[in-house]
Amino acid sequence: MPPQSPAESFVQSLTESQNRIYGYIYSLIGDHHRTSDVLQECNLVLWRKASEFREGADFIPWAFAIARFQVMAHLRDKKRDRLDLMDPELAELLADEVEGQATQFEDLRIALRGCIGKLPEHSRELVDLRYFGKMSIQKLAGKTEKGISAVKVALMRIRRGLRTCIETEMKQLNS
Amino acid sequence: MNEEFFEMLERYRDGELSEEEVTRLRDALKNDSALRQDFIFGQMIEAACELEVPGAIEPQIEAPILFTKPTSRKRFAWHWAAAAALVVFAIGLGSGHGLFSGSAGMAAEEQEDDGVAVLSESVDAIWDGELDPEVGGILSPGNLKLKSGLAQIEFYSGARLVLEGPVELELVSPSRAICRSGKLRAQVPPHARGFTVLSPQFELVDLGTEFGIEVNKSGEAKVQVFDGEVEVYPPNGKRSPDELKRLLKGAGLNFDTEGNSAEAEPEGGSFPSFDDVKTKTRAAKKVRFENWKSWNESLRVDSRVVAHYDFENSSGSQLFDAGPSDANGSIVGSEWTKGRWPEKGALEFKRPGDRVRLDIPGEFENLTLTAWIRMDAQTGRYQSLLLTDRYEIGHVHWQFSGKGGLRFGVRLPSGAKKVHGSGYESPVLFSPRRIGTWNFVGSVYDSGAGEVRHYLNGREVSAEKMKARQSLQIGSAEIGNWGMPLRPQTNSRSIRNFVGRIDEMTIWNVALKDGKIRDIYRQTRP
Repeated sequence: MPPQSPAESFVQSLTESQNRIYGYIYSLIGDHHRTSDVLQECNLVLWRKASEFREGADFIPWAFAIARFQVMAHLRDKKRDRLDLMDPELAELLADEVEGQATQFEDLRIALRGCIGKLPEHSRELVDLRYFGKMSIQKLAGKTEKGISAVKVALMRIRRGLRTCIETEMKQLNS
Repeated sequence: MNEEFFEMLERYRDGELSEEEVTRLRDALKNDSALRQDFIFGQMIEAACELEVPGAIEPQIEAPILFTKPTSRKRFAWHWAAAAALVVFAIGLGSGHGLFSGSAGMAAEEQEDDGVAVLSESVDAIWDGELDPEVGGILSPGNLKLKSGLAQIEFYSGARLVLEGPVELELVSPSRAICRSGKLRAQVPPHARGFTVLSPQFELVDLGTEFGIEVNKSGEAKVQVFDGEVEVYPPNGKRSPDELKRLLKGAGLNFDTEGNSAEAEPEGGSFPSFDDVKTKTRAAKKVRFENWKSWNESLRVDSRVVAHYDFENSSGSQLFDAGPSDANGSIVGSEWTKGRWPEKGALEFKRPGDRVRLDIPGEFENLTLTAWIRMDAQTGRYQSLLLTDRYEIGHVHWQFSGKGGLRFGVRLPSGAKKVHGSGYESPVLFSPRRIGTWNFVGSVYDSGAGEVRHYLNGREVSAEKMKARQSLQIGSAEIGNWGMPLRPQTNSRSIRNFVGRIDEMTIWNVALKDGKIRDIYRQTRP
C-alpha cells in the first residue's frame, strides 16, 4: 500500500477517534444531543488546527485536550439549569479521570455488547426498548403489562448487572 | 459500589431527582474522588449505549433495512451503518469541502445506499418481518419472507422476479439471489445475462430468458424454462463444466430430496406470471380506492375531526375541508396533480412559494395530525407539513427536519423546566430510499399519556415524554410552507417549503392510539 499523505492520516485519526471523543464529551455533559453538538464543534476545531498537529504524535491526547476546552466553554455558556448535575467546577474535577477512561472506550463498547448478549431474552428486550428505543417507563409498563415500579426495579437490576459484567469483561480484555 | 449512590444516579438519569437532590449529588461528587471514578464509569456506559442507537453520531445515514434478520442481529445493524457513515465522513473530509459546517451538510456530498432491487408491485402481500417492504421502495441485501400474496421485484441489473407466497428469498446483489423455498418466475433481459439464483438443490445461471423455479421445504425442487436458455449446476459454487446441465425453452428439471435431477414435463400454468401481477394490482388498487372513498365519507360527520383535507375536487384555488367544519384553505402557487391513486387529486409543492393557507380556530389538549405525502427531494433543511404562521406559546410546527426525522414542535413558555428545545423528533424516517414513494405519516400529542408519538405507515416509530404540558393552537397556518412575514422589519423567512406531493391531511382533536392509526393506514393505503 502506498504511504498515506499527512492529510489522509489525519482524516483517518479523526474518523477512528470519533467514538472515543464522543465518550469523552458525553461523560462530562451527559446528554446525547448536546454531546453531538459539542462533538461537531470539536471536529471543526480539530480540522482547523490540523496543521498544528505534529505527525507521529499521539492523536488522542491532543483531541481530548481540545474536547475538554470545548466542553468547558459549553458548560460555561449554557444557561444554568438546576436539574443538571454538571457544572464547570465538577467537570474540571472529572476531566482527568474521564481522559483515562475514555481512552478505553472502544473496549467498553465491546464489553457492553458482549454483556447485552448475555442477558436473558426478556431483560434484553427491556433494555432494547428503554435505552435504544427511548421508550418511557410509563409506556414500557403498559407494554410489558407490569407496574411502573416493577419496571423500574427490573431496569435498575439489569443496569447493575450490566455494570458488573462490563467491569469484569474489561478486566479480561486488558489482561 | 455504593448502593445509595448508584440508585440516586440512576434516578438522576431518569430525570427523577429534585433540585435539592441534584445539589446533594453534585456536592458528594465534588468531595469524593472514588465516587467520581464510579460516576464516570457509569457515564461511559451511558455514552456507549447512546452509540448503539442507529445513526447516533452520523444521523444522515440510516441503518440498512433488513427485513427479517433476527432481532439480535438487527440490533447491531447500526454498526455497519456507522461504519459506512464514517467512510462517507472520511471521503467528505478528504474532498476538502467545509463539511463540518452544520450537521445537515455533513453527508450531503456523498450519500450511499446498499440497495440491490426495487419492490415494484405487490398484491395482497403479507410479509413476515418487522418492517414490510413498500411498493416502490428499495430493497437491501437480506432476507425477504413473503407469507402469501404476489410480489414483483426488479433487480438493479434489470432482472425481474415475481414471487408467489410463501417464499423465502435472500437478495444478495443486483444479479444474485438465493431461493430457500417457494415459487417464483424470473424474466431476465439480455443485458442482465448471468443473473443467478441459488437454491439448496442447484445453482441456476441465466443466459437471457424467462424461467420458473419451485423449491419445497422438503428438499424437492423444480426448474422450468419458458424461453431462452439457462445453465444449471450443483449448488457447490464450482460451476464445473462436467456437472453443467443446459436447459432450453420448454425444458425442465425435477430434483428429488437426494439432489438427483430428472427431466420434467413442460408446464407453465403453475408459476406466477407478470400479467397476473399486473391485472391483480390494478384490481386491488381499485378496491382500495373504493375503500378509501367510503372511509373518507365517514369523516364528514366525525366530531373528532377538526379539519380533513382530502384533496379531491381537484381544480381551482380552494382546498376543501371535507370534515364536519368548513375550514377551507387557499392554494397559493401549488398545482393540482395525481395522488396516491391515478384517479385521486393531490397538490404538488415544488417552488419555494408554494403553499396552502388555512385558519383553524380552537385550542386543543390533545392533537393528532395525519397525512399522506410523497417527498420528492431531500433538502437538508426543514420541510414543512403544517406550520403555524407565528411560533408563540402553544403554536404547533409539524415538519421534517433536515436529517429526515418527523418533528412535532410546540412552543413552550420560557422557564418550562429542563427543556432543551421544544420539539419532539422521530429517528430519521426519510432517507433517500423513501424519496418518491407515498407514505402515511402521523404525530400524536397525547396529554393523557404525557407523551408525543410519531408514526410511519401505521407503525409507531417513536414516543417521547412530554417536556411540559401545554395546550395547543393552530390558528393561521400553512400546509407545505412557513408563514408570511408578520413583522414588517423582518420580511424574510427561513425557507422551509415542502418538496413533493400531499394528497390528504387530517387534524384530529383527540390523541389517536396505536390501533386506530394502524387502522387508518390500512383503510387508506394505496
